[in-house]
This record gives sequence, C-alpha cells and structure tokens, in this order.
Amino acid sequence: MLDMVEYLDVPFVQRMLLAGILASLACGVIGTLVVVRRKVFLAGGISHTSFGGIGFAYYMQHLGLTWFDPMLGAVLFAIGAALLLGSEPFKKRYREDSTIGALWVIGMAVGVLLINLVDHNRIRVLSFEAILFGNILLTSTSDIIIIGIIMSVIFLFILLFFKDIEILAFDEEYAKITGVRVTLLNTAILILTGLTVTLLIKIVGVVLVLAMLAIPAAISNLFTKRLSTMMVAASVLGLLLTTAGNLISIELDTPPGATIVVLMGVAYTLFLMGKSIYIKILSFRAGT
Amino acid sequence: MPIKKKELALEIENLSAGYDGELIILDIDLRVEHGEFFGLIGPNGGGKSTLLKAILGLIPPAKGTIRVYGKEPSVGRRYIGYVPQYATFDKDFPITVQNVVMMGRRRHKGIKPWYSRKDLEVVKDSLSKVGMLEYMNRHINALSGGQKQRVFIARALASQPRMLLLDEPTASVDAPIEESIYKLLSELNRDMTIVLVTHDIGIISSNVGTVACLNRHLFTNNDQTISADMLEEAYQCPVDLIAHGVPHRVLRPHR
Repeated sequence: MLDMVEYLDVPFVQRMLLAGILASLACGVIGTLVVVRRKVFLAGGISHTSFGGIGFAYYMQHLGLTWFDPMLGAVLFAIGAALLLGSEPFKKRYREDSTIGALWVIGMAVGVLLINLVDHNRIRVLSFEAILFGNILLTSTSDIIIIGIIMSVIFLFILLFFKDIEILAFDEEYAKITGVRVTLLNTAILILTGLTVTLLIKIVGVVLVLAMLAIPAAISNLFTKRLSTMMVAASVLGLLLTTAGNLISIELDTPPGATIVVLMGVAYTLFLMGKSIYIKILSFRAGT
Repeated sequence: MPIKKKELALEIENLSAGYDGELIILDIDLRVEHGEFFGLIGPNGGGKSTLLKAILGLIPPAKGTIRVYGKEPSVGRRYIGYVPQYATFDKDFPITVQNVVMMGRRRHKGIKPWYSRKDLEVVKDSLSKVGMLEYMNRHINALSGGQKQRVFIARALASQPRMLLLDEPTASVDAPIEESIYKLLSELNRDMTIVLVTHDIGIISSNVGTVACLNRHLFTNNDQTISADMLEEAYQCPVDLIAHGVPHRVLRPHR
C-alpha cells in the first residue's frame, strides 16, 4: 500500500485531484443556483440528454469526422436541452416535469442507439459504465485545461451579475419590475448549467452529476443565510467530499465516482440529522 | 418629495387585459392622483392581480391605455414601489433582511456589480422607517408574518418610489398587526401615493381615501365610501355592510 504523500507524486492522481477540486468549485456555485431555484430535476434532464450527445459524437466519428470529441457532443446536447427546457412554451405551456422526464429518457435512448451503430473495432468508445458513472482516473491534461477555462467563465459571470442573479432567483417578477433582463439572464444561467453538467460528467459520469450539483448545495442550505455564503460553503464542502472520495477510492480500490457520491450521501444524512437535533435543542431551550 | 397636487399617479383608460387572449378585466377607467390613498377591493378571481400586472407592465393591455406618472408602464414602473404577497416566497431561500431590502436599490445601482455605501444607507433608512432596522441581519424566514410584510414594504421604499403598490398587504396577519400596517401606510402616505388591493372588504380601514370595487369591471363612487349597490354589482350578491368602529366611516349607514 502506497503512502498518502507518494500518491501525490503519481501524475494521474494529481490530475484526478485537480479535476475534482475544479469541478467541486463549479458545482458549488452552479449547484447553489440549481438548488435554490428547485431545478435539480432539470439539471438531471440536461445531464442525461448529454448522453445522447456523447453517442452523437461517436457516431460522427464513425462517419469520418474524427475530430468530433465526445465532450463536444455532450456540450452541444446539454446546452440544447437547457435552452429548450428554458424556452417560453416549455416553461409556460407544458408540464415541466413531463417534458424534462421525456427529454431525459430520449437522450439516453438516442445515446444507446447511436453508440450501437458505431463500429467498435475502428473507433475507441468508452464503456457505458465509464460514461454513466465517470472515469476521473482517465482525466487528461487537456481535460483539465478545458475545465479550468469553463470554470473561469462561470466565476466571472457570477461575480459580475451576482446581485441580479440573487433577485432573479428569489423573486422573478420583482426582478423584471426592477430592470433585470430576466430572459437574457435566465438563458445565460441555463447555458452555464449545461456547461457545468458536461464538465462534471467527465468526472463522475452522467448519473452521478446530480449528486455533485445537488448535495453540497443542499447541505450548505441547511446552515447558511446568504446566497453568497451558500455558494462558498457548497464549494468547500464539495471540494472536501470529492477529494476525500478520490483518496478513499484509491486506498480501497473502489470506483471513484460512486465512492464520492456515497460519501456525499452519508454527509447529507448526517447534516440533516444534525439540523433536526439542533432545532429540537433550540425549541427545548425555548420551552424551558 | 413634496406632493404636487393634481398630478396623475395612475391614469387608466378603457383598459381590457388578460392572458392568452382570454380577457379578465374589461373596460377599466381609473384615475388616481398623486398623494391619494386608494383602495381597490374585489372578490378572488375578479381580476385584481391582472390589473396589478398590467400596471406593472408585466402583461400588455389587450385594449386601452395605462399611464404611470404619464409614462408607459414599462417605463413608469420605476416610480412604483411594489409590495407583492410575501406568502409566495420560498422559505428556505438563503437571504437576509438586508439583502431583500437591497433589491429595491437595483435600478439605482444600474449595471455595476456591487451596491454602494449610499445604497446601504438608503436600505438602513428604509428599514428604520418600518421599524425593522434591528432585524437587518436576520434570515427573512426567522421573522413573523407581519414583520416580513414590513420588510417587503421597506424593499419597496428603498427604491425611493412616488407610489407604493401593495397586493393584499394584510393577508395572513392578525388584527393588531393589520392595524399597525395601516398606521404605517398612512404615515408613508404623507410622502407618496398608496394604492392597495385586497379581497377583504372589512380590511379597508379609515385610512383609505378612495375605494373602488373590481370584479372584471370597475365600480366606483369616486369618493371614500363603499355603497351597497357598488358591492352588490361587484360581488354579484347582496353584501351586508358592517362598519368597524372607526372614527371615519368608510361604509354608509345601513339602510
């Protein structure tokens, strides 16, 4: 068994930890918006639709467009799904959970069909398992550069528009009255959500993205009273849990994505229990 | 700002509006002068929210015109401090009283990413006007219903409006709180127009100047009384008028 310090000298471990750190910062910020706006299911729809995009990219490679990276396909489908679900008729006229659910499974089915059509002898296709549950161990340096660029865009955007985002998330009608460009800002947030989801797919896979987005933010929501604090707390929690999950997975030789998510689930349960005990103590004190 | 007499705060002519081609309010004519305390009552589903949305420029008129201080609603709404029904907010949303009120400064801040020291001063001033300054750093959900209502009034005040527009300001608060909110509103009325909307006839207190009834059409006496005829027309059924023991009778003596 390797020592913890020795791990850190191994290049793929370094990349794995770095990717985890970057991704958890992004999911702390975007995850907070997803959670407070109750869009966790929408984020799930986006991530599963991007599975179709990955299949589409492989199929394009099969047809000869060898430059068509699966990440590119995922980004295109994720943003497409985000814009479709955020468009007027989808928001106002159709039942949101039905359309999200439909897109969710259609994305998956299209992905499965297209990957099946690809000649696996000619084109190296990731296993379904790797796509669905992530392969942080395979993160390359160029992946990390892409993740870093997307992260910078997200942070810059949030920093510049934080106050408008806060108003929009809290009270969309008031945002409109008070001069926030609601449609534009909503669209921008959806695109950033799509981008974040794609970036997280690389690390934890299509299915486990939801955990990265929702759980650190949901935990932070339990003990913060400002949107900005919630973003910072969710990022820090995501960072700790992801790093710990990665190290445990190396130590125990378990799949990293699943290890991270289980760890997050345990943390969430503990925090929920802690909070209800805290409230009981408070009301007990108030009662005496 | 001293109140100039006879300036029209709200001028609505022949307005019909609704959603998806279905008209909810029909042929509304309404004039509210700057400095008035105007109460609009009407049953649920009578179109109060539709009228509010039209005044705020959130839905376009199907017919007729609206002027807010002489301007189109999408422009004139900058003079309106809007107080929505607070009950609709997500109680888990992480936000402090200060940050809620700060939203009222959005238009003054412009596109700058951060608020200025002056914005913070206006926020504190608005909170002290409604008696909530000491709660500035509390989570919004740690407050009682009446306190929340005051915070949302402070948010509207922070935009330094010429008119306060309130949607059911005393829904889900009990009687003493209701009275204190009306007292606050009549104090604020010294500096600004107040327009409030409610479904509860009994709620219109002696502070309100002019009253109109809305049930798809607008019924008005153009003074501070509610007549039985007006209510009967608006509510489509005979309504018993029972005046509260107030020094200034809103309701005419029962005939």
